[in-house]
Amino acid sequence: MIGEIAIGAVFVPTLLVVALLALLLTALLVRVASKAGLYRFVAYGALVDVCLFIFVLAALAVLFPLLGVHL
Amino acid sequence: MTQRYGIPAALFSLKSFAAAMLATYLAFSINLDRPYWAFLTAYIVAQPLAGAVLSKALFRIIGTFVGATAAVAMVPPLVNSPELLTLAIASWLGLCVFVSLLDRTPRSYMFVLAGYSACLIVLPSVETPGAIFTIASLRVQEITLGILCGSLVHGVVLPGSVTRFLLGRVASILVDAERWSRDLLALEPRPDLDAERRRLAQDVSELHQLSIHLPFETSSHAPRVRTVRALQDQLSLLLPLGAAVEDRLRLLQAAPGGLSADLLALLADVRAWLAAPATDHETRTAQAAALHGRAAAIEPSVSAHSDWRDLLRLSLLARLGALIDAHRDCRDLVDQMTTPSWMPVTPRAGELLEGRRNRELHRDYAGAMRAALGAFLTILIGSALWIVSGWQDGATAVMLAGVFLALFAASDDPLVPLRGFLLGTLVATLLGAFYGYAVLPRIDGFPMLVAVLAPPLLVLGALMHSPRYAGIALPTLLGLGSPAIIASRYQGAFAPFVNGAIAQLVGVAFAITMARLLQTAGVEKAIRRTIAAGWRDIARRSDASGPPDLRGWINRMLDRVALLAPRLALQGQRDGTPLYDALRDLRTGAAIAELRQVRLAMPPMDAAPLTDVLRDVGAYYRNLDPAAPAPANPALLGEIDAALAAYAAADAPAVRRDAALGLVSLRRNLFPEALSYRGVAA
Repeated sequence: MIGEIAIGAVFVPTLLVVALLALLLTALLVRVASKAGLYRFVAYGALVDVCLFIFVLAALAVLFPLLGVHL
Repeated sequence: MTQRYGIPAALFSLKSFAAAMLATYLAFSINLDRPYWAFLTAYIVAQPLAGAVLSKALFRIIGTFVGATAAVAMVPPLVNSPELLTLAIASWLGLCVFVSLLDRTPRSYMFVLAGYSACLIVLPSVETPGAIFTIASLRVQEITLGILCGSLVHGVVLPGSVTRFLLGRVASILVDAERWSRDLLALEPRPDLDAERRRLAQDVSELHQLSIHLPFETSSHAPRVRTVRALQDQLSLLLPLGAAVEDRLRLLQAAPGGLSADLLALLADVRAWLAAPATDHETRTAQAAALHGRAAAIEPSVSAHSDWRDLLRLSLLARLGALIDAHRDCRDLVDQMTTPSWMPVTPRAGELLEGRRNRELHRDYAGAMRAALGAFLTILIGSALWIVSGWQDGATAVMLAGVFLALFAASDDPLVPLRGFLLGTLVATLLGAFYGYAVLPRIDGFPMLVAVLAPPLLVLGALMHSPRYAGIALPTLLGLGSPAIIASRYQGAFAPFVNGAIAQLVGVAFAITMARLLQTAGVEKAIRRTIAAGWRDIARRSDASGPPDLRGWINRMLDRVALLAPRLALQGQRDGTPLYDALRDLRTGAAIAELRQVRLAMPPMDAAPLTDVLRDVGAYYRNLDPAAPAPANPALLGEIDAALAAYAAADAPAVRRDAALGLVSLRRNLFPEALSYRGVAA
């Protein structure tokens, strides 16, 4: 069973909403890390961005069921 | 090294192919209705620069979503009256085209897409209005899937950096600008220099377009947009200042006695400095200050006895000083862009960056209105023909015609890209027939499909990388992504394939017809509108009384210069013909701003001669007719000379100098043929 959130009368998969949230969080993290100069230690920034997104999404996917939101 | 042997093109093609196949595979595996939309979108967002892909992707997602929402909102209430539905969809497309043409940056794609997505969703579904929500939602999903795959591949696999490209462009623009300034300070004039220098206006516009992608650059060290804006401001100053310096210099050279020794020495030193400015900030600032100081030191002071030669010399030296400063600021800002830190590299760079946000641009409401009307009429007439003829696939034709008019509304001659599309569609139809009836029946499974599609797609993808063939390669690619080929199971029916192909060709042909009907004399009119907008602006500014906005004026007018140059070239005219010289108008407006500043600083009872001049300049520009521009009234020349005489006798030295500077510029711009000041009387 796929969890869904109703926006108006439209059902949107919860995972999509969580993924969007993860994307925003990742963008924020990338900005902060870039400001802090962390990307100077990285050979291939784009790949780090993608991995970061996967980590954030995984973290959220663990976190949300704990808060009672079914994915 | 990697730039040789067409490696960038091959890499780009491979990346686009991988993205498209990934999108197709995912679309197949989740059983989307039209997997070819995901395929097409992956190719449409493909661009060499990663930041540009991401920005286009975001604009496309937003546009599609808004368009789909509009479609869902429009269809159910109007489904019983096709006339009203057609009217609604045509108006929606027209509105979106109008807004997109006012924007003129890569952002405008969002508005175009909102317009034509609604057409793409509504027109094929008028037969089944009940399914409109499902169709709209599927279209959004298919597009989003294609966009995500495209962004992922282009953003992650060896991303082309917008920053690197921008910095490369900036470096070459700076080198060109410094070379042009050196050439105009040289003693023997280069006849083609003026035309070449005007390219700077286009370069500044190009920086503007590139800067839209900067916020999407994920890599570190992307320069801030405000740094680019500040650099645009300073580069924009170079064109009018350089033109003024050159004008005064040539006049003084031709005058009896020629140039004095101190002036010649200063010019040689400025040229030497421009050839090799110091690389560290302090030395460079000191060098510029020393040169500026020397120019100020040999500046003649204005008095009641000053003659035309003194005034020209004053004007030359003052503009030269400003030119030196602008070059120094450009260098500082380029250094600012290349440093990873956000701290200002010099105090001056900090000042320039302070509060810098948007660039003022020319807005052509009439032109946007015209294009919007074109798109509106195309949908209306097309729908009428389609409904009356009863040809079911006619919907595709109308839809495509609307899409094309929206997509190419911004181009001066939509026929050029449309012809490319016609040719590309033709090639794609032949290729599609070959694939559909010779190749696809023999294959089975997704890996085979990828393998057989690879040869044409990889070649076309590589062609897309070259500006020369992109106009044909993209339409061919889009044609190949037809429902007959990118489908989860083989569809052998011949009739729908031919019907679809004919509808596509008819759509392009109809778009060409409508574009020809609507665009007659479009370029000529566009030139006149742009010029006349500048004149109205001058008239308004010379009547206004508050503090002048010189930077806004220069930005907007330089944008007009950049817009005019390619259009004039299209007309076979060189920019800078006496009638349509937007650069001269720019300088006139700048002189007006200077005079208004002088007037603000002086007590009101002294302002009468200046107010006379400003009022009559405003009146002259207000009555100027773009169809038959007339030279300025000689009475105005008398007023300018009277004002020159009046302020030369003023008490405050600053008023004497600043009023003379503005008035000399105005006199030279409006009356280039006039004899020297007091030359007639004396």
